[in-house]
Amino acid sequence: MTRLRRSGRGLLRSLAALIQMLLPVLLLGTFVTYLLGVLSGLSPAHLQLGESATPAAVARLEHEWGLDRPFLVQYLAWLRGLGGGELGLSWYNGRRVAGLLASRAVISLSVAGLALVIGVGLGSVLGTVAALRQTSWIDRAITAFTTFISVMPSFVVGIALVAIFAVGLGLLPSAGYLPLEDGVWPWLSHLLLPALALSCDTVADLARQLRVGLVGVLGENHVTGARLRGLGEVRIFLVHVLPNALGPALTVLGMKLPHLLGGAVVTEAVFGLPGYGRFANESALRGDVPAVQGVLVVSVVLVVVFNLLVNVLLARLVPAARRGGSP
Amino acid sequence: MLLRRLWRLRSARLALGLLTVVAALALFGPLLEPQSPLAGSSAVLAHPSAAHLLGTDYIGRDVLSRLLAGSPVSVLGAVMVALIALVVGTIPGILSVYLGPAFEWITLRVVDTLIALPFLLFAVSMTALIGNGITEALVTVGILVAPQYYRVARAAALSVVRSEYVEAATIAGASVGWIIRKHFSAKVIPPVAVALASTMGNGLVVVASLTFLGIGVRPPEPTWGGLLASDLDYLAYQPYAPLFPTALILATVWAFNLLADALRDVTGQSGRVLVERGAERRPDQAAAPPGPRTAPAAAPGGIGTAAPDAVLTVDALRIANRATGEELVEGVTFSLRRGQVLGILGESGSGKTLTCKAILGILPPGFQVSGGGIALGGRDIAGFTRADWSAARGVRVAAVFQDPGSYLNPSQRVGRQVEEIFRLKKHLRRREARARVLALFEALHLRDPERVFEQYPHELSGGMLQRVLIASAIALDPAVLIADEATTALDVTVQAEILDLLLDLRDRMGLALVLVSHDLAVVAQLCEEVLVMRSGQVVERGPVSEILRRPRHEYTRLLVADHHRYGLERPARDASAPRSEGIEHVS
Repeated sequence: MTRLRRSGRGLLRSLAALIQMLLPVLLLGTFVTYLLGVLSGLSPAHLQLGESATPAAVARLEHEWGLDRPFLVQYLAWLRGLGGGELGLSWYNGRRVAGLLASRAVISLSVAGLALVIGVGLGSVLGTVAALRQTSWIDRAITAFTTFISVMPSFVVGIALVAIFAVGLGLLPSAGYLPLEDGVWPWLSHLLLPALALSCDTVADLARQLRVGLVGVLGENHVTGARLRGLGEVRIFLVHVLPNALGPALTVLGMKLPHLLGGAVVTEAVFGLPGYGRFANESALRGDVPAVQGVLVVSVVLVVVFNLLVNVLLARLVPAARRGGSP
Repeated sequence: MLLRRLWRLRSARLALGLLTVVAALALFGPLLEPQSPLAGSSAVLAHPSAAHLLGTDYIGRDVLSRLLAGSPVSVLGAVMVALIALVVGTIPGILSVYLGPAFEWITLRVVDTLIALPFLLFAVSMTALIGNGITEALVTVGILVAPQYYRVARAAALSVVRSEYVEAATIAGASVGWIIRKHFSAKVIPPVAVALASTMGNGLVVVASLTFLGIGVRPPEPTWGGLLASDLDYLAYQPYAPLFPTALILATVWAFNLLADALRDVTGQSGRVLVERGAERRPDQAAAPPGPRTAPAAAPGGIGTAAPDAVLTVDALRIANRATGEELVEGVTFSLRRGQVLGILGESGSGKTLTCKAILGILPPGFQVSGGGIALGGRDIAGFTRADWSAARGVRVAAVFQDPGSYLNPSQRVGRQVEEIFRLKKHLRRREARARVLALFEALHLRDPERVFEQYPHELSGGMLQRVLIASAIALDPAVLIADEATTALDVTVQAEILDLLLDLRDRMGLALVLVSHDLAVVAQLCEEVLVMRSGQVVERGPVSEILRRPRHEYTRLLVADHHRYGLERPARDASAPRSEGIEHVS
């Protein structure tokens, strides 16, 4: 009973610490995003009235959009809208940004999600094999491979993948997107190459961190202890080694999401995917401030939510993290 | 100074050489253009030829000229990004240590936020909204990269503030300027230099990514990234075209990374430590004058003669370092019957722990049994497979060590870890297994077994941990229990309780005990027979009382004499105990 209460309180405390860390990210992130619109000096008048608009017409339009209010009032109104899932109206065509974004976000999140799966899957396998065959040639080959792919820019990897799999071998489509309704394989085949290009960084970092974690735990006495208790090697690895070794890898995974979400800008350009990265790029070039702000704020919220999930997972796996690291 | 040390590294010379070429390209590239980079011609998408060394693009422009013309923006852009980030990040990073908690808190939150933002998405959006020029792009990216410098500079500044010599210098009245020149530069500059080299590499990739997207520099104007974008559209006609800009980008990034690694090595930040293996024997012992080594005579009392009912036989065991061939255990022989208690006495490095590890099949990597053999319950362990070991451990032989807490999984409740043994090896249900564990804890005098069951290793005291570890070791009723310095780190009363517990187990379960210690008092109190080891050899063996009264080997004599001089580490608690006759004698 006391134990339950104690661990409950510990969980609450770590949650409070986490919110203390993530709340500023959320607030500052939205603030910076909104400030960006003001700093740009852009107004819907540029898009809708053109260069020859009279000052009076510009002022009237800005009043319609509420842009003549004080900055903080505008910011708070925008935040209130965010709370209700509203991201404002596009200056370009006057439509709801939330609506414009939703279908594109599905594409980007599919690519990011698939990249995450590839990153976790391939990274775990490489990291585990390297750790178990420590200092052998396999270990060195894996280290060389991960170093190589981690310095490759994702658009270079993307172009190489297109050149090999689409143009060279003709196995997969080089660009475009088909919705899931058209079948699983057509959908997946359009996502595979972009996800692969996006996942390189995650594969490399995860493999490296997992290897470090595993090598550290494998050298600990408690693994010898488990062996001496007569447990089998598979059981020892899964129950006594892996959970204790996941800390650094999970932490890195939490830090990789901004990359997976932000990298969409480049991969979507390489593979001609109509995702939110392209949307942000095009809207920004067009000067459609609310649309860009919408993409940015959604990405910030996703990063915060994902970090929350990773940290809760970390706390469940490693009691030390739950206690704030104190022995 | 830094440069001279750097120059000695081959990788650093290679990196600097490459970067010199890149710098020359960036500064003088446009002067070398064979043709105008913007003028098209009728030779569209031509393959490489004498007229166009790298071919032409989709409107007939010379690719080599465009590559050269794009070099300044691509390379100098990366340098500018790193320098902007250096200024924007380093200054608040250092000031955060000095300007008080409010400034520190605010800057830390800003840095956390900037790091959490999806980098490229923000870089692209911000640049395009603010004005989509090259200056805007470089400033935006520089600000987004700045947190790295903030962290590096802050960590270095913290280490300067916390180090004692600066405190001492401040007290001694040294001027602030002197402190900064003398100590600050030594601690802050090296990590910042590493960050500079690595952000130049990253900056190059980011600038290339932006220009690839048409951000910062608009299409007709050539850049390395922009060239790739148009190559992508004509991949089917010129599949090799992306190779040229890619090669330039990768070579430059590689050179920057190589330089960063070399800087890390030179300034001692890489954490690369050469791991020496097989340092079991300490140098001071290797250098010690060799004492007269008496050949271990077969002493009376059964040790050394393999009894037919032996549960453990060690026969002329030799253990060597695989790499050097050096032998660390040279011919140890003994055997053990049910219920027998054998002490192995020796200082650290004498080979006693290696002998135990060989018996348990857990020799550290790099060591191997190079001669002789070990039999557990009559079976030679040389032919043991993994499955054999898994079956033998906990049943034929079990062990407890010094620092018991480290032998338990830190993130599992201790009860679960003992329960696991019953569930996996005896196939008991959870409820039955739990009952067995609680009974075992009770028998080992753990107060409140239910509570201990639910606790994590870090929540238990050393004595309790050793009891839990003993519980896990005897759970399957093993024939032999090896206790290697099992009571060494415990305080005196707990040590006595644990030793009593081990003897009690011997009496109740017929356990054969191998008690390994450097402490004569511990061995003398518990054991009937004792081996004395030194430098991998058995130098003396026999009944405890005999060895205490008439030590034959010089080393044993020294041990016994020390014992008399400094007194026993613990006085005999019970003078009437049958096994403490040795203690009585010396006290």
